[in-house]
Amino acid sequence: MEGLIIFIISIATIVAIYSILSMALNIRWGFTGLLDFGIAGFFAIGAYTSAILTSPASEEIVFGFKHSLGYGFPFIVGFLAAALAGALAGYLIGTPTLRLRGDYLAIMTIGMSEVIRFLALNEKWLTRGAQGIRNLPRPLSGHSVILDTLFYFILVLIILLILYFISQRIYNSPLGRVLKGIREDEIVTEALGKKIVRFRMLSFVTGAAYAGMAGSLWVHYSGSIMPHEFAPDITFLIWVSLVIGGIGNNKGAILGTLVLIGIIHQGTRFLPTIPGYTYLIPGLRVIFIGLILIICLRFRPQGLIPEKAVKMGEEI
Amino acid sequence: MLLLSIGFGIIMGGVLALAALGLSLLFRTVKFINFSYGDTLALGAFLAFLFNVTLGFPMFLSILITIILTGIVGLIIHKIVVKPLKENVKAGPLTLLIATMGVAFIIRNTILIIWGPDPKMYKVISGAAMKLGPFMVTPIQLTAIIISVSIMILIYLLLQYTKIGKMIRATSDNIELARIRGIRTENVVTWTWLISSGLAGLAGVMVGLIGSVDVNMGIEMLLVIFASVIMGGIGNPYGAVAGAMIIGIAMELSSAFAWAEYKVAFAYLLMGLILLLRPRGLFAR
Amino acid sequence: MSPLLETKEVTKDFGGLRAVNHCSIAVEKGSICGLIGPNGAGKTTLFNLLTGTYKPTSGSVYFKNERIDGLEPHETCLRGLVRTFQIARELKNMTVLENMLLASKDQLGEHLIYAVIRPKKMVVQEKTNLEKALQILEIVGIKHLRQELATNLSGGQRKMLEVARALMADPEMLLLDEPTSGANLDETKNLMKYIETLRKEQGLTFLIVEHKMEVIMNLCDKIFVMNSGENLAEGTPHEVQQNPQVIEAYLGKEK
Repeated sequence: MEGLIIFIISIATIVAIYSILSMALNIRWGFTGLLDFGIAGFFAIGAYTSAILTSPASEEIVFGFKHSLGYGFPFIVGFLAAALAGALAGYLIGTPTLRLRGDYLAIMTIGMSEVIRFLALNEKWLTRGAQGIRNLPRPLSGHSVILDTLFYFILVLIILLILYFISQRIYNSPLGRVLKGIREDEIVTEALGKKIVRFRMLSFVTGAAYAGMAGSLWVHYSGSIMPHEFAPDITFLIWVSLVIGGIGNNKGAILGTLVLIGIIHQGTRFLPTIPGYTYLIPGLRVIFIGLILIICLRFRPQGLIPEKAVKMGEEI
Repeated sequence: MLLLSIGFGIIMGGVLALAALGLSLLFRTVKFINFSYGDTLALGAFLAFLFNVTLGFPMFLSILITIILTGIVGLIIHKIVVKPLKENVKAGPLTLLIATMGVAFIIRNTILIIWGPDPKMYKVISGAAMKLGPFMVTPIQLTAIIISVSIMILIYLLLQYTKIGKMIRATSDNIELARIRGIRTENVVTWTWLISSGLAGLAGVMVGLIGSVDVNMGIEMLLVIFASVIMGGIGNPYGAVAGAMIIGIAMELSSAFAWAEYKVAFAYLLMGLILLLRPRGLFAR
Repeated sequence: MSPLLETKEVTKDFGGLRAVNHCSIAVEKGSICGLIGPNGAGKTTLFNLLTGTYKPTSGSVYFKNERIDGLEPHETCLRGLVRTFQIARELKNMTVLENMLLASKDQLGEHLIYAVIRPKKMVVQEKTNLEKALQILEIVGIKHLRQELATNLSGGQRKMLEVARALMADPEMLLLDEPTSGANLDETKNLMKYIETLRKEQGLTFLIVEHKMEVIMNLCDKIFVMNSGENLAEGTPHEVQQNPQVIEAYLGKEK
């Protein structure tokens, strides 16, 4: 019984963390129309920043490299640093790439995401390469397993709600209007006096910060970090979540994540591995998700929760 | 050492050019980026493995069957995914890019289920490296580049001198005008998908011959193909060929000088640099 | 007094094609000027040159005595030169009111901190902009549609929205590209009256591309005629109507 409760809370935690990623992508694509295939990269940057800053100090020889990273900072430092690192990376990557047209941006972002993964894999002095970093502390732990899991979930949930609130505020503000304008028709928005590059960058960097924070939360949930976790597969899952849920609105993003990650991805984790066909179930799972994406685009492109027009009250 | 890198760079560039040509050709006609192109290429490599190694067919026959099959896969993608989206929900190029990303993952995981994650090798007679001018090449590498270049020339002749080629060019330039002039543009689009995906499959086998065949080759190749196509200017197939040669040689040079693992990253940085200076590519029309 | 808007021998080449050829016009402050010419004469291209969407191959553009031809489109808008589009570019999935409010300048709420925290002065500014938007919408006759998605409007209503939206951006001069195309007789008359009012009460200057002769002849102080990218003629409506070259190139061929 206890095992089942822990399982459910764990899935809820994962869904919550991925929801932050969905909101990050939503700010970029849903609000602003930036075709971003590189969300996994910023996830990785936040994750590694938090991991490196919080892992216990060590002087080891790993693959012949002296690894003395690990500063043992508390979680909160790792978390905030992850947000900042994400934002900074967003600014650096965004500066040359945000002037590009839509499909070029998609290609550049996936390229950057892969470059980041290569860096994580090869810069062993920083990231311990494929072996990864382990023994990452989970905040609020030190009690029974079930309470530890629960406390962490509540922490993630609180952060999710705060970020949701901020994202909603942005959407319903003049800033959100400009972002939507850019999404709908960039030429008009520019003709009305808005500097497009500045707003694209704002959207991109905010999304990057969100993804970075998600990365930090993820890493302290799982306790370890390895480069292969940040392959484009994550970007793919988040995209499908967003498409299912409804592009352009945060409720849709969270619902889509719940459905895709919660039910389909994690909910099938318990399926047995068929001996001799190790990759059958995992492979079928991704194929199924791919099919859902295409079917959803074809039959319900507006998603489960379509975007509602902002009806402004006359009495703001 | 340097010459070795340049030599292999030329060979890699040649194979890459074949792949880039296929993607660029498709883009010119359908006006969106087919994200599943890389994994179609990978599928080609694996199908050739199936025929050559598992079923024991001679390599030449395997390649032929592979090209036909991957062409058909492209056709299926067009008919089942792209066409319905375009017609029923007026999907634009960005939506189609997202949809073909889904197709890419479907293909990749099909490969994973059937063949698993371990790299594969073909059953071909490998010879020792011979000296060719200032370079050293193995017979396999030589075969690969000869095939690639021949096919590229064939495609050029097809586009310039045959009826179907002229129809493809007319449709690419202006689909409305082509339709008015009586060209069955729907057929042209179908043929373009067939040719483009067939080229992807062939390129996949070539990559498998000069390198290896593994489940992740799709996305890796796709990134480098993108770099080539964008460098050359996305609407320009011959620019893509030039871009591919540049990228191929640059990548091998970079691995000679320092970071072999960062070959792809280097290609991307190079592409990024070009885009900064000339946002429409080096040879944009 | 020097003209509010002036182009000096402005030229635009696209590859081998010369779309605008040494075009020079001057618009006085407070005047309503028309820009006419057959299709393909280069009128919209000229507009694009004025706003910075295109950079001239040669020649220059001056606004308020300042050279503006190197500026970005959003910068020319901020200087007070606002344009509308030939085919109405309404922001489809946003309401009429949102379309309007987007155009206001210097919105505090466009900064991240203000957007999230919502201090009092931002809320007050929103309210002021809202009142202004409602006023303008009332005058052009689409206030009742303010909560409608812009995509649900009729053709004529969308053109009204184009103009209304441009007015929200605090222009000193408006470049209107075929503002009455798709508008019915009443809407057209309404708009013409409104343009006159804006000129009289707020001193706005207008340069209007139009095909409807009744609008041009009755509204404009001065008309510029373009053909094949060049200045063909200019003058009062009366003068232009009598000009044999104009008649041949334009008024004769089209009615």
